Amino acid sequence: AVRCTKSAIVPMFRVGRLSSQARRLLNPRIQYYSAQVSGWRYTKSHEWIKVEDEVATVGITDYAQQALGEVVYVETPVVGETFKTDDPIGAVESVKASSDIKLPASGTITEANSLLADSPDLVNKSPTDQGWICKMKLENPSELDSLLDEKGYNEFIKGTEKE
Amino acid sequence: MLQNVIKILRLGPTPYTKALKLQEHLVNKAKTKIANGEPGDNVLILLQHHPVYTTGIRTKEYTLEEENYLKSLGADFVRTNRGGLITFHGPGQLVAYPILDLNQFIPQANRRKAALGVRWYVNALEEVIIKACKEFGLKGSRSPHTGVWIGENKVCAMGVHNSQLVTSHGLALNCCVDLDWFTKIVPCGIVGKGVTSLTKELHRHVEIEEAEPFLLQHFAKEFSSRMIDSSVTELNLPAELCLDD
Repeated sequence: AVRCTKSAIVPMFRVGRLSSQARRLLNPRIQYYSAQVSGWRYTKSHEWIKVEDEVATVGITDYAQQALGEVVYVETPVVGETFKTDDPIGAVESVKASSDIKLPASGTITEANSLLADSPDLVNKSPTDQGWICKMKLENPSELDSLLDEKGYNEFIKGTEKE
Repeated sequence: MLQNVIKILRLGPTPYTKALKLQEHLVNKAKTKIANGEPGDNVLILLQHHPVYTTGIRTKEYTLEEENYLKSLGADFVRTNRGGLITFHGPGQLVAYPILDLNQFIPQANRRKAALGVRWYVNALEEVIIKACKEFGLKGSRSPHTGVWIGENKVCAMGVHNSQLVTSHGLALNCCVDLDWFTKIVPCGIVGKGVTSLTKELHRHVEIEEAEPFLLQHFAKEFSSRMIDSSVTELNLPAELCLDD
């Protein structure tokens, strides 16, 4: 059995030395996702979404947390539930106001940030890192193309400031 | 400069759950208009509730045991999606639910951090009540806890919901409500502070009808709006949402 395992491992390493074209042939999904948007995208309601590998992480922006004030509670979505783009999937409470969080893209929730239960102010202190709200599997990654990139979001914020 | 318009919808004593459905209807109507690029209708609902205890999104803090106890006192118990913790609504309390399209009001705030509207909005609601209290010769004040206080006692509770900049829920001003109901809970989760009413502070009976004009007058000022009397019919509301009980 050990021998079988050894001989099974060797071909896998050989796969790593294959050309990128050969790798794509063996696993077409790699090509699909590497052609997708990676990095950050933003909504006009101040949510961010970041895709790494096949997992999308969602949170609210630094601009949003400043405007809301001290966050005292975050209602996170239930793991396993599926939503469409713009569905309200939770809420952030500050100054006795609960504000809906909208999902930037369609998909299924795979994880909710359990740290927020005891430390909701992570959303204030670290809105784009430890204050993430949920992770999801995207139904249709191309939906992210219609969201704002970082430059577009910064311009959008400047536009609202002028009012 | 054109003023915003806010329609006033006055209802009699209304079951809490019915008022929730009414608000949901108005919020959805506003969101649909906004999605079509039109301004949402602004409606200020003024009403009273039958005795009811309500909680906000931090509802897990209140157990089924507590819920059943409060119900045994003769009140309803409803868990909602507003901000804020537990509070009581009942006869003698002027309840106001502003269903506002904050997109129309945000430019007034004119500051970056107020652009999302929520902190500015809650602050504006507090200002309305503080100024209304002043009309009675009472000094209302703010504290780190949202709401309006007279000394150490809360005269007006607040808890709102904001969905894509359309507001719902709102405030409850104690005019002549029986304050004994509040002794059964820790109001708004704030230990060590009390609850008061206009009647208690002024040592004379103050009806809702006496407070309402001041609330409306200052609402118009704080939100730079024209207040217009409206009705169920005028708002095209399904009748089953607004029957007076």
